[in-house]
Amino acid sequence: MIRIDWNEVKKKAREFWSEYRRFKIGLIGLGLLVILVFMAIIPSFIFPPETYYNWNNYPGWEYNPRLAPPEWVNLFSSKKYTPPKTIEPTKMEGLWQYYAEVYIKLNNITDENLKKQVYEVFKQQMAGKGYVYYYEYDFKWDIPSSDLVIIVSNVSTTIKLTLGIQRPPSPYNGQLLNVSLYPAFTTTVTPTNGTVLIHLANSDQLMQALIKNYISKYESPDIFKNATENNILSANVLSPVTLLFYAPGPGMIYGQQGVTKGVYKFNITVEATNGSLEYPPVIKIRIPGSCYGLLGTDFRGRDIFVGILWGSRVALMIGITYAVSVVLIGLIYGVVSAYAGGLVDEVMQRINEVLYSIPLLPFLILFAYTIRQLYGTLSVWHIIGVLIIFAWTGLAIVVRSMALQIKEQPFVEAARAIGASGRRIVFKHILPQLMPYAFASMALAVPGAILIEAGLSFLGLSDPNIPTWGKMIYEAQNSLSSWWWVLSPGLMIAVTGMAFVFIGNALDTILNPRLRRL
Amino acid sequence: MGYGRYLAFRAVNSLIVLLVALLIASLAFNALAEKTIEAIINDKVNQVRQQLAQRHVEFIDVLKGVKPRLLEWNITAKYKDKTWNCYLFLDNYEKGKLGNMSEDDINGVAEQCYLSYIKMREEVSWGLNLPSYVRIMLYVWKSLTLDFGEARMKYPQFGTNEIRAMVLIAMGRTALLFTTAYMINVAIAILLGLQMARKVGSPLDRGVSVIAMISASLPMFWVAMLLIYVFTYQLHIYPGVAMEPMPASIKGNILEELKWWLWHLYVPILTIVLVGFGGGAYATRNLVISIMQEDFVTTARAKGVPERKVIYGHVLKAASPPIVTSISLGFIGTFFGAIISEVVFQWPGMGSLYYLALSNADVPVLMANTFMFVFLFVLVKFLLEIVYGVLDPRIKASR
Repeated sequence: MIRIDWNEVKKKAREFWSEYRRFKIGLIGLGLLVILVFMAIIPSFIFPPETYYNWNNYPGWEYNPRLAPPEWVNLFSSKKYTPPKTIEPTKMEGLWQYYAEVYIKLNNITDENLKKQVYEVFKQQMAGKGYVYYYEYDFKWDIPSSDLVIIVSNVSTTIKLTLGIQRPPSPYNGQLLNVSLYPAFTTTVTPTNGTVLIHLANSDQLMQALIKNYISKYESPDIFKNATENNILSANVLSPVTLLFYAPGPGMIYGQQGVTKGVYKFNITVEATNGSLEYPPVIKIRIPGSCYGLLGTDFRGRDIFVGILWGSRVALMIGITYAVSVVLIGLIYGVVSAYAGGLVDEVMQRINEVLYSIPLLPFLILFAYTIRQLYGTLSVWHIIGVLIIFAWTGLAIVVRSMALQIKEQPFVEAARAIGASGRRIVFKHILPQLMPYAFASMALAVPGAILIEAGLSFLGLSDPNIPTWGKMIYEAQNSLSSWWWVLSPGLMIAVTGMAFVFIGNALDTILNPRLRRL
Repeated sequence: MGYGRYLAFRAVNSLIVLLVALLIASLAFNALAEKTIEAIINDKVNQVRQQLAQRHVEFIDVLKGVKPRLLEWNITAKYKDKTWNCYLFLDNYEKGKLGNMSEDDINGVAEQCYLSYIKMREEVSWGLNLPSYVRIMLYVWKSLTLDFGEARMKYPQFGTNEIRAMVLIAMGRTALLFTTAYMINVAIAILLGLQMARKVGSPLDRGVSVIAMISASLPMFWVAMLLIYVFTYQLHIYPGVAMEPMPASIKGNILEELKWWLWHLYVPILTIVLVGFGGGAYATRNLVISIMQEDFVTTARAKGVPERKVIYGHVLKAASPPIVTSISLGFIGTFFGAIISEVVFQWPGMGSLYYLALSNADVPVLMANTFMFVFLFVLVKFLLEIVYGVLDPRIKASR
């Protein structure tokens, strides 16, 4: 049994720290590492776990805009992006109320008693038949949202849903235009306990309503004709929601007239197609906007900030698991080889040299692919495993030569002379001498593993479900102009690598006084 | 004699490495091939079944044509929960011993027998009937003789469908781009490293050291993407891809062709140099510093040898073997990033071939590319060892 003298360890650690503290670069690295560890821990507490293991298809992404820059770009940009917003109804009433009011208006009923009677009659006839919801959206930005989502939940029976839109008054040829669209959009919703999302970004109905009531009237005939002939005015090419916000005038379909700012009014009528509703469904309108959160979104509406945080966990996991395993294996292999000597040493060195000369990259590609084909999926652990199998050898060579030098030193000889066992000499005398070197190598090994994982991801070989930085870069390669999506994962890889290189270099300089700056 | 023995030892070592690497790769391919070939064979069997059904062939007649094979391969088939020995079945049919079977049943058994035969024929042609160690050895042999066959998909970037030619083309292109960039890299690294070592602690030294540490952790393909964004989308001074069909007007005019290649390759080269030069310079600096503290340098200085001559004569001479080593290690490290960056620049070299083969699930191409990569790698390492032996006289003395 080998006893550890804790006081000695404490004293050594304190000495080491007072030395380490003098290296500014080492302290920066340590600071970065603390931030990274924090980043790796917090997502478990603030994001649903589904965003991690179901990164591609987490339902929450449906509420987000796609390819939207971060919200803080509004601080620097002269054109302001629309932030996301969920609008609650300002007013809700039964359908009978609505019809009664219409009836009263049409027939010019002024007598209060008569009005009450009308209300009574409509209530008896139509209670529970349907509801009307009113919304107001104050739009004051320059780049509108390209999507509008109707969020429907608690639907007890099949309903018909109709959306009406009233644009704010907008100046056109010296007068104020009031454009209303009714019905702008109609659909049926079947009963559900969950939530139904209705996206209007690709709605041809809304497009047709806009063309009929708005665009065909105020767009210049030439542009309108050209656009219709070239099939530009279709919901697959232009988002009707964006067009809704564009101000009237020539070139309006391309946004050349700017946007109309003001209060947009929406109303949604739901009507049970059969029987009556037990309770009113809950309906909200979501404007995903054109900018999002701290780091924006990617082409699927995934929040890049969430991906970056989860990615830091994956990266640290890969880097640290790899570094610790490789250093431990290399250390033990090298020391055993050096201590055993003779034929054992020779054989171990031959094996090591052959493995060391095998190129890493093609084997990683090959084995990652093979594992994916054979097991149908690939996890980060597979990649780490293959990486460890092929990459431990370099360290073992260095450790062996260092251990050979230590082995020849008088104190080892003395220990052997008083009858210490081989195990005791290895663990008590040789390994402790190598520990500082081992820690420096661990720190320096981390960035390599992270870079290799990123590289494999870039070839399409990555864990398909979870977010990793490499995968994010891989997916961003065809959207280079979405700088927020391209930059953040790459910078994170660089910063993480830097943190460990800085720490490793500080350790290396302490251990290798020759390199110290003069 | 010493150097000869050193070379022989290194050559044998490289050969062993090559064989072991090929063996490991073949192991993986064997597992992959079993999986993919089964799917291919099933496709083939279905195809044959459809063809025969269209031509209204009596299966018993086609079965007669392959009678010797049925015996040789001991073909059996399942029909209505019964297992039939196909040779005996055919034999009995020809001797008229199957009188109590209906016409439909006879044809049914014959169909199953024929499909079993097709399956077996395909398995034999793919070598699936051989024991797996034989198949693995076969892979090793095929890769040593560069016998890779035809690609399953089309690869227009490489202009051929024969895998060997394809991989050789890819290798040449990768070598062209990477070697050029690496030469520039090495030159910058040595010059800069020496300057840094001469003035330790100077702004140059500190600056390049920090750049070295930062660039060591930059993913090269990411840098490539950023450079394309800046040079192509913002400044419009780069075509965005490294390979385009060359216009006929400049073909044959060597100067124009060279300009064309430079115009397409300068950003990829810049990427490799940008990511690599810092690390190389830093490694050179550290080696030179440690050698400058050796006694013979002090002696030279004390003798009054000019500082320039000390650095470029004495120090560089002594530092060159370890510099070669660290350069060869750096070579391997940069190569990894470089071939992945090929995908970004659409430069049809080995990295792009990997990318295409992976997305097409084209196992033979993947196999050929891997084997080629191993060859290249072992060869480069061997060449560097030869150079190392020339540079370091101690090696000639020992061994």
